[in-house]
Amino acid sequence: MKTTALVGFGDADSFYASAETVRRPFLVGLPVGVLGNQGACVIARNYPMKKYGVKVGEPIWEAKQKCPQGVYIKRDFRWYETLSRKMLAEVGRYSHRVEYYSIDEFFWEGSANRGQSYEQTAVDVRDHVKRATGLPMTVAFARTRTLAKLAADMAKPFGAVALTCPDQETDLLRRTPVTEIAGIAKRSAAKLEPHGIKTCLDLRQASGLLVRRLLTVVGHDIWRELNGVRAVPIRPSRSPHKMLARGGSLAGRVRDAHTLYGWLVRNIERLIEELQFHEVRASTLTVAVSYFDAESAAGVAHLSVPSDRFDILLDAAKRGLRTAWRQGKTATHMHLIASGLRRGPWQQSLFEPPDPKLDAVARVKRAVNERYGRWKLRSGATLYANDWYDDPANEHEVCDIRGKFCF
Amino acid sequence: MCTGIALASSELPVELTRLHRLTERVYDREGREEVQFHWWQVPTVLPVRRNGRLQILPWGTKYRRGPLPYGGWVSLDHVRDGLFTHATPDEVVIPANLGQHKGTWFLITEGIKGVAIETRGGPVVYMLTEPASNYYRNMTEQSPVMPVFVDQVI
Repeated sequence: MKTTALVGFGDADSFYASAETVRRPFLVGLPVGVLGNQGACVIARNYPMKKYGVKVGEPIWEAKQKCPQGVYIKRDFRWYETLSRKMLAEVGRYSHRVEYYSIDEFFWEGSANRGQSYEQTAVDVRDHVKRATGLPMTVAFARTRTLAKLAADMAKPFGAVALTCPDQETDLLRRTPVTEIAGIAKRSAAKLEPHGIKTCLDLRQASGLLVRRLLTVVGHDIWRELNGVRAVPIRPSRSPHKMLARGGSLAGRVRDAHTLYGWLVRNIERLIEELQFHEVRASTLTVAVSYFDAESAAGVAHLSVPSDRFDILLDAAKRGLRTAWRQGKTATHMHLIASGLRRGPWQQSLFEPPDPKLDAVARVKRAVNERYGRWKLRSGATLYANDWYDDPANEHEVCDIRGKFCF
Repeated sequence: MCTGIALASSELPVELTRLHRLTERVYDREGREEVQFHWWQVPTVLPVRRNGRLQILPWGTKYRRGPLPYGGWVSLDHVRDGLFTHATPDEVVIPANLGQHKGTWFLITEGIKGVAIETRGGPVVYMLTEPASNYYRNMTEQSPVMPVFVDQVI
């Protein structure tokens, strides 16, 4: 096997929990669980807590039964972003082509250090990141992204491996179930099983046509990657967004229309921040609401002119919410999705003429917030969701970390 | 509410540990020793940083008929409204690495604010509380109040 250029992959071990340990050495060795936005669910846990059977997504009242000695910590995405970018910079010392895949995962165009094997280079990268950031990371090299990620998953925690010969690859794939591959969940696995495909090796050895028929082009790309063909290149920068979305949990159950409206306005303001950062305007706005006691619903509003202006987007969002609202039902989540994103010039409309006054107001609002902090100046309608603004930890969420490909 | 705290054994001077028999409160958490202070323990005490010195003080009172407010917690608003006008409340810090309520151990970065009240029998400390945030309520099975943390928001 030719090993001149492999894909490098680094994945921080139990990232959120490890990030807390970096700044609080007191936590070293203790079972640590990081709680999500509401303080109700464990969104990450370290290996000592994993030992007790605590799972990601588990409610705290169940987690503490399993691990009564566990220490539960409020999430701090601002801190996690700081460390994430530090890791990105340190990995960047080893390659000019690094992909910021997620908050704690990085792919790069890998080459072995001069005078070192890939195995030794993996150890070197891992140890360097640990020294520079305090974070434990598992590092793997392989012919493709999928193989590198599988190798890293199997080497965790604090592993350093390189698949440089066919036997190593075959051995890894033979003992790895297909469900370990990112992108093959239970439903896909159920489609593969009648064809005798249970392990990654079975998948690699299957017919490409069959895989494409069962799992579409996405599955076919995975099959190619398992066979050593790079289906997805390293992407040092993110491709332009086709959609932008903001939203999430409503911090509890919301029945009151005013509170729901408060959240709608908050999400619009967050969405506008994103539109302006990416210098795009939305042509379509979708408001999606999930309910505790009813089916999820969505309302779509088309804008006559692509816009990033508050008043225009608010009008569209109100129309969307009218369709998505279920009176008397309890809402739990809301998402605003801007699509049909336009860059550069667009055709003006007679019905939505430019409004220099409102444009000026938007500019002032943006300038104040840039200077004095996020949400220092915000719509009065968000007072209905005021509890959320009282806590500075809510200022920065995981989706606010820009440049990465996924969470 | 916060009904117990833990402090790493290494943060308590040996002399203080000996004097107040704190070795009886030493617990092992995954191989690490810490001293725990719970409301249910007798004597009910808390470590307090006061006038630059670490002390062990009685934690509130469990007697309903005395002059002191019953319990180990007082609300910050009540103190501001003059709950202790008869005495001179002294603002103190209760150092802690962890806090506990209804079985949830949570991280404390600096400590909890408290007030020390002089009595005939010596000073007594109360934990200061405020209405719980939504986050704290969820974390602690809907506790309506939370401690006033030092430079920390939960």
